[in-house]
Amino acid sequence: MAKISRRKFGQLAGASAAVGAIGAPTLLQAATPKVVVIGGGAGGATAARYVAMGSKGAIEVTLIEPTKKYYTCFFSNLYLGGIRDYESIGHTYDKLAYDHGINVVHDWAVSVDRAKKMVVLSSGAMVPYDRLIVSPGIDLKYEAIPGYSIESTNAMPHAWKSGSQVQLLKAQVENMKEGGTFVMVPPPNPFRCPPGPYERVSMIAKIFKEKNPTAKIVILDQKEKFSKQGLFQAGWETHYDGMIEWLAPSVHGGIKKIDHRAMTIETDLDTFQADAACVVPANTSGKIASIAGLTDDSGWCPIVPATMQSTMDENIHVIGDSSIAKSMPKSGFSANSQAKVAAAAARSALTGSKVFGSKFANTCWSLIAADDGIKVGAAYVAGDKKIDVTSKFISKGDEDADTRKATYEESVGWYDAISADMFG
Amino acid sequence: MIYMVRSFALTLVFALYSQSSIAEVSLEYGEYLASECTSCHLLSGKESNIPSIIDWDPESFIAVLTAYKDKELESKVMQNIATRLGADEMTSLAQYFATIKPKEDSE
Repeated sequence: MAKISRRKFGQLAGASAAVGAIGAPTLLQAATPKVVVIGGGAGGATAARYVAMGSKGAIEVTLIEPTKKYYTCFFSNLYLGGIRDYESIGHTYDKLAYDHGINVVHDWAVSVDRAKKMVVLSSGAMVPYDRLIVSPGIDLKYEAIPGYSIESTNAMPHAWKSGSQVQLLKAQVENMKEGGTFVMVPPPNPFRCPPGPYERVSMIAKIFKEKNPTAKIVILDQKEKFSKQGLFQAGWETHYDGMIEWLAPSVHGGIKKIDHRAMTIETDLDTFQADAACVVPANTSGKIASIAGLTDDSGWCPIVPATMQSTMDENIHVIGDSSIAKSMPKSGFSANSQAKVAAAAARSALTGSKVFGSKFANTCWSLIAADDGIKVGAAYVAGDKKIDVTSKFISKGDEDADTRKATYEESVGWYDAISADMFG
Repeated sequence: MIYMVRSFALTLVFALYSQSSIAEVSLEYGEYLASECTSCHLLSGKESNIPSIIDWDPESFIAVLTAYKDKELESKVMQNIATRLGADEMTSLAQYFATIKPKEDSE
């Protein structure tokens, strides 16, 4: 390395001071810009991967995710129904680190200092960012149902964030007494995975049909209608005739109280005695989103559709379930799609890379019985105020068995591809 | 296959008169658009229940996309995606995916 004389140094310093005076960006370019992603699920893993792939080392990417192995919510119902094994829905972060050079930090983000552009971790460490992508998924409002609490989730799991809660629920379903009653309480709108509670009921009915055919399922819904309702109800009649009863709030009058010790769910209509149950309370955005001041009065995070930037802070993007991404449903596919829009916008802001417009897509596949798959989907484009639907589709009620089987098989191909698109 | 080739030709003619898209045909544009495809299609070349779309001849790639757009090929998901692709977008995608080769170690 050539030595720099004092005189030369003086010249260089003077030159850089002069450049600094005309344009600060020249000085800023000296440091590699930093993108930090909070949450390593469907949205966050995709965002981290796409920023890293697209910038090819021009941006330093840090992903903050407490768990070392992530079990997807999508397809967790298939595990419940005995169609997938648990490990087939688990994903590690090895490839994001090894193949894409992402710094994966296994810790909790506990706050965001937006003025200093720092994420604070539970260890006390501070992680600086130029752009922050927040993808924390959902939290559950246990207190929204009188008598229900985190303590109740042992006897009456929500199992709405995958992982061990789903394992617990599966064990309770499989060990329920012969001819017993299973009660499902789906959440009110808006919530993660609109068809999810009804696919879950289908998969539990599948287990009962195989192991406990006199068992009954009662659905005490917190809304008047649900996603793919006609398709699900027709499927239940075909595969599980007489086993499943769905009651809307206009029929049962609302969930008044839950007692997990007595295993009772009280409504105006009746007090239902459960032998096993799944209770999913109202959803809200992941806690860190509200701590960071990114939520509005609804508890969810308003965004700018074209970039998924928070309307509260232009240096922050919010994607996935926590965002108000109307007209898209809260799904893993939606989060994956929104992550790519946010990644392109963040890259463009930091390195000047080209952005070619903001398109989104989503498809939700659901399984009613083995080889009986249905789907609903849409394509979207960023509008001024919201994400607008450009075209959509839904499975038909009169499809033959081959079509339904092909739909299920397509969902298996989708799972492999989207997992690779998220986790490498 | 004949109908595919015919609709491919029609698309080209149609494109000359009616298509306006956000960007010119380029690999960079193709790579950007491709991120929509990889939500369902594996890039490894490994066979799955959803066909691999890498390493195709670009003309066949465009012909198949056009057939989905014209609803001559079945698949609600693909019809939904293809319906909003213009000629420049199809060409950019076709050229980009043609550059992706199967991984040696794919199972």
